[in-house]
Amino acid sequence: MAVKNLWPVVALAVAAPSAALANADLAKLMADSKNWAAPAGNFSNHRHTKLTQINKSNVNKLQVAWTFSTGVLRGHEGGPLVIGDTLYVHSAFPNKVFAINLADQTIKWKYEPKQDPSVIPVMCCDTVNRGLAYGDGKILLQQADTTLVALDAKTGKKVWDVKNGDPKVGQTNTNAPHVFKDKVFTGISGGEFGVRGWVAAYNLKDGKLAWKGYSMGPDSDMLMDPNTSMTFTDGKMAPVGKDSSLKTWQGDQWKIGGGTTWGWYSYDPELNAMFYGNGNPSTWNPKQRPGDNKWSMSLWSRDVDSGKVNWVYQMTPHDEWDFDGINEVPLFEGKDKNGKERKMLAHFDRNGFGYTLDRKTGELLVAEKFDPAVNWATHVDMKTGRPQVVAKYSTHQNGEDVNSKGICPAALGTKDQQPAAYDPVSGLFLVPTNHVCMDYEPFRVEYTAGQPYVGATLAMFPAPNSHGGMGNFIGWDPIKGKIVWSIPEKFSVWSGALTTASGLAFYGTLDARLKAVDIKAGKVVWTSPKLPSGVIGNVHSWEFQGKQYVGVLTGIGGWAGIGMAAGLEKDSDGLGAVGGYKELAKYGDLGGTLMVFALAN
Amino acid sequence: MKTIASTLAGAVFTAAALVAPQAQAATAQEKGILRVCADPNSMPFSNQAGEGLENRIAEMMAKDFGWKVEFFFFPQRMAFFRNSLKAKAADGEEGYKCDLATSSAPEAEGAVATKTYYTSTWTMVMPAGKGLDAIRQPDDLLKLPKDQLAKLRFGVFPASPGADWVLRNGFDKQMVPFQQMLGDPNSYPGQMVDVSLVKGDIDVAFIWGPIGSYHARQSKAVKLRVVPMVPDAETVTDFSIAMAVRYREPEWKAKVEDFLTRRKADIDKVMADYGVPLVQTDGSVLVNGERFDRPRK
Repeated sequence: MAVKNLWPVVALAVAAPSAALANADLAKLMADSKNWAAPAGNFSNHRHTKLTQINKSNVNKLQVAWTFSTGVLRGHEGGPLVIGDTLYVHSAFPNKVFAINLADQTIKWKYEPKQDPSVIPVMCCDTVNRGLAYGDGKILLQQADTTLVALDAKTGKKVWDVKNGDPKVGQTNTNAPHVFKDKVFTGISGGEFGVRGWVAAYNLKDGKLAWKGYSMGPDSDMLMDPNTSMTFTDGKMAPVGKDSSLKTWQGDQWKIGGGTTWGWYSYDPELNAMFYGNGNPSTWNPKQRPGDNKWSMSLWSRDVDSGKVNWVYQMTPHDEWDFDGINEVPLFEGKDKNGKERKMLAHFDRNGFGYTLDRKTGELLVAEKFDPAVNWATHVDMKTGRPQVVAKYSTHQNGEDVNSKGICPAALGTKDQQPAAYDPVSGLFLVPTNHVCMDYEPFRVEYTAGQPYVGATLAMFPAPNSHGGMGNFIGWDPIKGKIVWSIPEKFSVWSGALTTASGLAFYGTLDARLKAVDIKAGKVVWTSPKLPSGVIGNVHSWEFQGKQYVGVLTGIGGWAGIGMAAGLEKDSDGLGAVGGYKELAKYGDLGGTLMVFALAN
Repeated sequence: MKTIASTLAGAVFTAAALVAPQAQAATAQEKGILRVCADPNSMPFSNQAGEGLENRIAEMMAKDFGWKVEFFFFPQRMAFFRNSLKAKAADGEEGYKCDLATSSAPEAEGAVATKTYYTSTWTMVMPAGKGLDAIRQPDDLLKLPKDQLAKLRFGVFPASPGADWVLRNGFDKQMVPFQQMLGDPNSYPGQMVDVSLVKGDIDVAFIWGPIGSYHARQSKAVKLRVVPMVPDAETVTDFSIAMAVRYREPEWKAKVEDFLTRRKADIDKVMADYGVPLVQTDGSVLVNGERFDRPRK
C-alpha cells in the first residue's frame, strides 16, 4: 500500500533555528530510517539502515527499480541523500546537483556550478566529489574549486556561498561537507602541491567562517592548547606540550607540510566533538624531514563550537610510504576487551592497521592489522602507540639507492577513502579493502613543473602468496582487533559499504557489480547484473511509499581507476593476467549512473 | 598575459589509462602533423607563444620530417601524460591529443622516455655586487664571514638538491620553502628568481639550471649570477632530460630518437641560445660561456 510520505519538519526548516534546533532537525531526519539524510548515514558514520524489507531470504530477488545518469563521465564517489520524497545526487566535476522527485523520478531542480576548468590540473587523482550534506533546509555542496555552496533544498536556489580555499595555491576540494549542530564542516586537498591542511567550520545559517584548525605549525594555528590538548603517551593520555608540531619539522617546512583533510568526519553530540583523520607530510623527502612531522597522519578530536583540539594521535610518524590517514572515523559504543563500557571509535587506516580508540579520552585500545599481508610494521606498540617499522621495508632506512621490494600495503593503502560500515547488531565493521603490495624505488627521477629531482616510484601488484586478487571484503571485530571472515575479490574493493538491520552488507566492485553479503555467514548471497561501469561510490538505502531501495553511483575513476592503472601499467608486460590493469579494462569503460535496486512488487 | 583556461576547456579525463593502447600509428602522424604535448607557461622550455626551447626543437623536428607542428598545451605539473599524451583526441577524431612530450624524466612514469638530449644541473642564482661574487660553488658560502652567512635567506624547493644542501649544512632556520607547483596557471617556478630574488625576499635561489639561467639573463634591473651546484655521494644535482612517447609505439620512438641523434649539434645550439647550463664530459659545467670546474669530492 502506498504511504504518502510527508516531510514533517518543513515548518521548522523555514524558521531560523538556533544551534540546538538545527541539530535536532537533522538528527530527527537521520533517525527516520526512510531517509538517508547525511553523507555517512548518521553522525556516527555507521552507514547502516534500520530497514528490514530486504532480507537474507529475498535479497536474491532484487531488481533494478530506476536509474539516473548524471551526464558526467568521471569517477563517481560518495552517494545520494534522500530526505522525504526527494533524492539529492551530485556528480564528479563540474559537480552538478540534482534534486529528483522519488514519486516519478523527474528532476525537481538542477544546479550546475560554473567552475574555472583550470582547477582540473590541480586535482591529483581524478576530479571526484564525495557528495552532499543537508542541514537547516539547505543542501550543501563542496565544489572542486573550494567554493562551499548552500542551496535551498526545495528550489535549488543559492542561499550563500563561501570560498574555502584557493586553487591558485594548489588547494582544491573533493570531500563531502558534513553538517553537525549549527555548522558545516569541510577540509582541503592538495598535499602534492604542498598545501598545509585544515578543517574549517562555517555557520550553516550564513556561511561565515566560525573557526579553522590547521594540521601543523604554531599551536595557535592548530587550535592546540599545550596543556589541555592531549595525546596518547607512554600508555596514558598526556598534554601535547608547547610547539608539539614545530619541534618536529626543520625550519619553516611546516608551512607547506601537508596533512590534508579530504576524508569523512563524524560527530558525538554528547561530547560536542567532531572526529577525522588527516594526510601525509607533503612534498618533502623523508630524508629532508627527520622527526615525526607532527601532526601529519593523525586522528583528531576537536570541539565542534571552538575547534579546540581535545586530543590527537599520530598513526604513522615520519611517513615514508604515503599512508594518508584521512579515512573515516566511525563511532560506536560497547565493552572493551576488559569489559569496560566505553565510547569508542574505529579507524581503518591506509597503513593497514585497524585502530580502536576511546573517543572521549583519545586512549589507544586496539591496533591490529586488518589485512594479514601488511608487513611494513610488525605491530603497534600499545604503550607508545608507535608502529614498529621493519627495516627492510623502510625506504629511508634502506637508503636511497636501494629498492625496497614487496612492501605491503602499497601506497594506496589497505584501505583508501572508501568507507566501512558498522553493524550494530553483530558489533562488526564491514570493511572494503585493498590487497595490494608494492616495490618502492626511491632513486627515481621525477619531473614536476619543469624541474627534475630525485623522488620515488612504485610498482603495485596483488599481495603475493594469497588468493591472487587485489581486494577483500572483511568482517572485523573492533574489540578484539580480528578479521572474522574475508571474502576475496579480484580487484580492490573501492566502494563504500552499507549494513542493514536484516543482517546484510552491500558493497560494489570495480568489475561493475553490486553484491550483498550475509554478515553472520561472511558469504556473498546476491550479485547484481552487470552495472554500467565500475563502482567507487557508496551504497545507501532509503524507503519511499513503503518500498526499500538500495542505491549506488557507478562510474569508475578516482585513484582506483587512475593510480592503480598507472601503477600497474608499467609492469603490464610482465604481470600475470590476474589482477593486472589489462584485466580491469575488460570490465568496462567510464560511466556516471545512479543505480537504484528494490524488490519486485 | 593570455591565461590557459581556454586550452583546458576541452581537457576531459578519458579512459585512456584504462584501455590497453593498440599498436597503431596515430592519425596525426599519418597526416604529417607533429602534435606536441607542451606546457603553456614554462619558460625557457615552452609557452603558448611558442617561444621556448622545446617549441624551437619541435619546429626543427617537424621541418626535418617534412611535417607541420601543432602544440597541445597542458600544465606539466600534475597528471600531465594522462591528460595529454594518453588522452584521446576530441570526439570524432582518431588518435590522441598529442603524440610527443618534448621533456620528460629519463624514466617516465606512465609513458616511455626516449634517449636523453641534454644534461644540466641545479644551480644557485644570486645578485651580483652583494658580497657573493666570489662564490663559485655552494660550499664557498660556508667560507663567508659568520655574520654575513647568518643573514642569508635560501630559497628552496622541497625534494630538491638545494633543500638537501641547505638542511645538511644546518641552515633550516634560514630556509624559505617554495612550492614545486602552484595551481595558478600563470605561476611558474622561475618566480623564485624573477620575483622573490629580484625583490630581495631571498638572497640565494636554488633552482634547476635552465630556469635559473633563463631568468637571470632576463633580469636587467638586477644583475644576477648563476653558479652550478656540485654533486656528491649524498646529493644528485645533475639530471638528463629526455622526451616521451606512449607505450607500444616503438617505430615512433625510434624516429624521434633518430632525430635526436642526427641533429645533436643543432639541438646543442638551441641550448646555448637559451643559456642552458650544460654538464660537460669531464663534469665541469658551461654557463653562458663561463666554465665552472667541479672537482670530484
